[in-house]
Amino acid sequence: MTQGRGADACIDAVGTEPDTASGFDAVIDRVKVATFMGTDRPHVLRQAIHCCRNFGTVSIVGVYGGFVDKIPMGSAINRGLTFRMAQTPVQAYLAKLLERIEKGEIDPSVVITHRASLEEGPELYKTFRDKKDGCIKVVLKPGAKAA
Amino acid sequence: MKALTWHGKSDIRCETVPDPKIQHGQDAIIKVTACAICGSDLHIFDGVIPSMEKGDIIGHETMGEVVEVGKDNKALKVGDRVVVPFTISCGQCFFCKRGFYSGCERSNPSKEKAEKLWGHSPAGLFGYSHLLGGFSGGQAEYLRVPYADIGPIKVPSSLSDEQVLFLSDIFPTGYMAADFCNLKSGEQSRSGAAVPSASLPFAAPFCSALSV
Repeated sequence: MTQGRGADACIDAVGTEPDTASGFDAVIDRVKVATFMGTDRPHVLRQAIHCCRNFGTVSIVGVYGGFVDKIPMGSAINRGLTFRMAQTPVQAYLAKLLERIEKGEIDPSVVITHRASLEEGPELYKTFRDKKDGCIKVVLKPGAKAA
Repeated sequence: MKALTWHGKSDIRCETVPDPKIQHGQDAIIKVTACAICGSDLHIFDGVIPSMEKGDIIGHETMGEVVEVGKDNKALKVGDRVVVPFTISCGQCFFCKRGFYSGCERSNPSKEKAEKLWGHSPAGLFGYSHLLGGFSGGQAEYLRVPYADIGPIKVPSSLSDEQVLFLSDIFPTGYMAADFCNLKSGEQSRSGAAVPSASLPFAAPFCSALSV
């Protein structure tokens, strides 16, 4: 698909807690976090860097907390990658994105898989974390009665 | 009121807690009509976010109806229907004036803690630890919104809660992630999603839309 060059840009939307069933680095990360030797598990960020083409962009919106270990900076500097990242400055985007919703260009509600009352919230945290029941996005409606 | 509160790893409860009150003239209190669980709330659920305290109200994707406004808040009135950004921003400081609202240098009351860990402090966030202000979150029946004359956006009655709720975080976040990619025509991005990450469906169409 990329003629072997790699992707033009890679997005890390996962952050500090990837569900990593495989990968040696992921196992080491788990051990380090469990023994207070590390703060984050940046498996996805490492993959994003490695998958990105020379002079491509790594876009990070997944959340990290502290000091992130074993980032392949050698790969990044030698291949000229650009890093962009932020907690979103939401207010800067609101007006134009609301306009897109109003015009019918996008309907963000398509990602909702679960709707429930506030009381059902604790249970749905588990459902969401464990990826059960096809859970992608939970919306809670305070005031609604528990099903 | 009822609210979702954090009590430790894998321990989130729906409890009765005191109703929020106006604390500052720019505040507003909203009656929450819809709120969502974010992928980043799972980091709190899993106990990896430092500086959480037992009983903290969580949640940062929230919308509702304004039921009370502070005396200095001229932007909102009771009855307005608003979506609340997860970032708390003053609108006046060096960063806010430049559009970097999540870098607001006035909205995090516990900024010394953040400076110790990160060198400088970002904006305060709803329901995201005492490192980022210790603000009560919006997975609750009511939410106190600081700087409510700056952040919340009024939404028209023609749109449903579900259509506009994600303006609070994941829709702009997905859009920004795609925007950062700075794609040109014919280029493509690859996204990592090893956990449920609802921002990604928003990034995907915009990666295409922005690459023109």
